[in-house]
Amino acid sequence: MKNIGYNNSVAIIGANSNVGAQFAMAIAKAYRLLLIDSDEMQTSLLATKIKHKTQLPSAVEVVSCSKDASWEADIIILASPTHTQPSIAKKIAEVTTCKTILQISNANDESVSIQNILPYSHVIKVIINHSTAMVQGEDADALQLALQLLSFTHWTLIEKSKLT
Amino acid sequence: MFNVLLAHIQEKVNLSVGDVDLLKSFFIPKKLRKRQYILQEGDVCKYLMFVEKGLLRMYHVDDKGAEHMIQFAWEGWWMADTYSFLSGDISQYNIDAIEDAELLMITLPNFEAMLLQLPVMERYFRILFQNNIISKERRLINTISYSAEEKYKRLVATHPEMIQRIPQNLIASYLGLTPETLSRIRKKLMQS
Repeated sequence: MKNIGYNNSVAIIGANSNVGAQFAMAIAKAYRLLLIDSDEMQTSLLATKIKHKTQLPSAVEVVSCSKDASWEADIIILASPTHTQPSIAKKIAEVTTCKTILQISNANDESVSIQNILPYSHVIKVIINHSTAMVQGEDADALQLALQLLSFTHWTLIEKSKLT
Repeated sequence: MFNVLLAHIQEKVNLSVGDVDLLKSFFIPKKLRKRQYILQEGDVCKYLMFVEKGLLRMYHVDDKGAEHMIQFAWEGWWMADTYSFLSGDISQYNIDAIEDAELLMITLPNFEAMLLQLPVMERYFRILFQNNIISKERRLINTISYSAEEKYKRLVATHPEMIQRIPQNLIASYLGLTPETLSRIRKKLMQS
């Protein structure tokens, strides 16, 4: 039997946000999660809820440093408010070379791709609009990985190939 | 994060500042916790891994569930199931961390791209593969030609750090001995 967390750790930065928490709940059975948010108390409550739901105590962990979590993770979901994303991207740049990063935003938010801050990472933009998730990215493997993650969620997927 | 790798490369070939920046862009930095797997039997070995910090082991599990140690890798060592990595066939081996580890991993497409864009790395890997062939030949001779005591003595002479760092039962497995035999040998050597 394969071990949980084997080659598929996902760091969710901004785990307490609406989208971050929905992602965490949806993918917890298939991926090992590293949850990061400024309110660690609330993040711990989310982790407890996920452990209860999955019955997998080792499948989720609260981490205090986004860089450490991104270093350990294979995939990063950046679900923090859009205005914080560029500074987080700068912080994690060194440890995310060649990794897939899902940059989450809401349709109403102004969001610029962090790809230029992370030139060696594969950034996929995911724009949430009510029940749909529009997925944009240029790397085919990373796009595939993003679609695989999103298939666990309830959002209807719309795929685009270019980053804007 | 790249200190050990860069030092290891520059012992063998020269890299310019531009080369260093380009080189870094091919590697995935990865932290691995003690006992966490990076390869499991039945999967394809997708990465060639360099150990910046920590200790890895590669082993095979036989039909009876016994573990047979193939290789250890600590700071400055590369680790992969080379056959699986290069061919894309599934691996018979497991790789996990004996200690918390920091790795730099490269996929086959990135490895090929790196060799094309940084020809100096072809020379580096040629030297590495030559050394690897020699050490595999030596290990084969050790396995088929020497007594248990001699095997252990040779390991102590060539890799003293291994004896300090790796649990005795894993060293016994690496040498193809039972833990009891190794314990007896160590006791005898200490007395003499």
